[in-house]
Amino acid sequence: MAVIHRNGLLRTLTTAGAVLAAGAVVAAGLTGADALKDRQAHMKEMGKASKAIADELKTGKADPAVIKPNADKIATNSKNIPTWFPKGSGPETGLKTKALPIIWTDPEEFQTKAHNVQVAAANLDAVADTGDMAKVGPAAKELGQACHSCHEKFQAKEKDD
Amino acid sequence: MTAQPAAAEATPARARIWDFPTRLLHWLLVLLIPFSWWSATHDHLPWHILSGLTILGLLCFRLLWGLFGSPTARFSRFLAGPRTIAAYVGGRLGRVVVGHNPLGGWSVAAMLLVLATQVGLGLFSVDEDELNEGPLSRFVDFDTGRAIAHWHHKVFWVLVALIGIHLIAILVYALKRRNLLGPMITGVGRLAPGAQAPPLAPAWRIAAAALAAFAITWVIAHGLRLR
Ligand code: HEC
Ligand code: HEM
Repeated sequence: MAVIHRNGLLRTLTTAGAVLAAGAVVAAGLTGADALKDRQAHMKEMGKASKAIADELKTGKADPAVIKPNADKIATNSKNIPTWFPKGSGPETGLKTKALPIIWTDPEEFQTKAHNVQVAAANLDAVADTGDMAKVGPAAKELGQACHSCHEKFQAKEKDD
Repeated sequence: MTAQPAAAEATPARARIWDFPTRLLHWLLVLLIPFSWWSATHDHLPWHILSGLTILGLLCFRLLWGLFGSPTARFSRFLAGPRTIAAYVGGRLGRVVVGHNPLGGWSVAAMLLVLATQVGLGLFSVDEDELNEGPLSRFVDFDTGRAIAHWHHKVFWVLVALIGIHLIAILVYALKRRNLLGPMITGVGRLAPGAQAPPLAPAWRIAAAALAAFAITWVIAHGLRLR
């Protein structure tokens, strides 16, 4: 995984993808406010899918039929994270958001975190597909840590909500 | 003990007012509540959950001790009705008090109740990235679990406010030359003239309550799964 992080080309491509997507958002007539609402909905979807997996694992006899579609959902969704934060979709929208301004001032690290989640989610998806439920737990934990690592730095702490 | 020749009555008698489990529980809460706050706000959720579950165990014990413990720990003894409270506040209470006074008893009950609410909310709390969550969170959906986590954040400050009132009351009594701190450390305090030393619950009952509290907590910590 570490090899992939350090791959400057890949990062450049991801960043370029984000810039293109931001352009696409504007081209599609999406306002910053729309983008904000969309990403909050997408994030929540990933949260729900993660919880479904966590709950299923807690039963002690996880059903692959529950794990697989949720792992798939996160893997598919997380590929698009870089496109969810176009410029102008932050606090300046005047809407309630926990997105911190450093997302746009430190895009390099933000993209790295997004990329890490993408890798962890793809891994979880692959592990789920093998049907070996014993390996899903550790893979899900790794994904949770990757999500957390971005929230820790780029998401405001809950104070007043 | 210093002699007080000017005092009208003899040196006040001293007796054990708070039994050992009540004091141990009190000081563990003093350590664990700030630790729970610190670990939650400094990204040590696994420790936070361990600390919270320990507090859950202490609360279970306190509930049992409030029903079957030593007299000064029992709810039936320290939760007074409105008339008794009014009489106490007006200085017209016709009897001496050993243990919590009618007002202090309710302050303790309020703190325990809010603490229980806080722990109860924590048990169902859901974390955004699903890395840490309460052991009972599987019984609620994602949105409910997040809403519960918000309340878990808010109720903490109600608890802080009640603890603040508790500390101010102790300070006020200290200014009126009543030492409440000493007895909570040593268990021994001054008895008002004419008061009887309260009996203590036997050790087997401490063991039984502790065992029951541990069992209840263990089952909850494992998400109500008996495995
Ligand atoms: C690259 C950074 C990043 C990654 C990776 C990331 N998030 Fe987020 N997440 C954010 C930010 C920033 C917000 C705040 C968005 C806002 O309020 O506008 C957020 C918000 C959320 C929310 C709250 C949504 C709401 O408003 O109700 C959930 C739930 C969530 N993320 C889950 C996840 C999960 C699960 C993962 C991993 C699969 C993940 N996130 C990965 C940055 C990230
Ligand atoms: C008296 C005991 C407790 C106190 C004082 C307490 C206090 C707190 C505080 C202040 C927070 C918010 C941290 C922040 O602002 O980021 C928090 C979060 C949390 N607590 Fe507790 N807590 C207690 C018990 C518990 C218990 C018993 C559990 C579960 C076993 C628990 C689980 C959680 C979880 C999962 C979070 C994170 C929620 C989130 O991410 O929003 N807590 N706690």
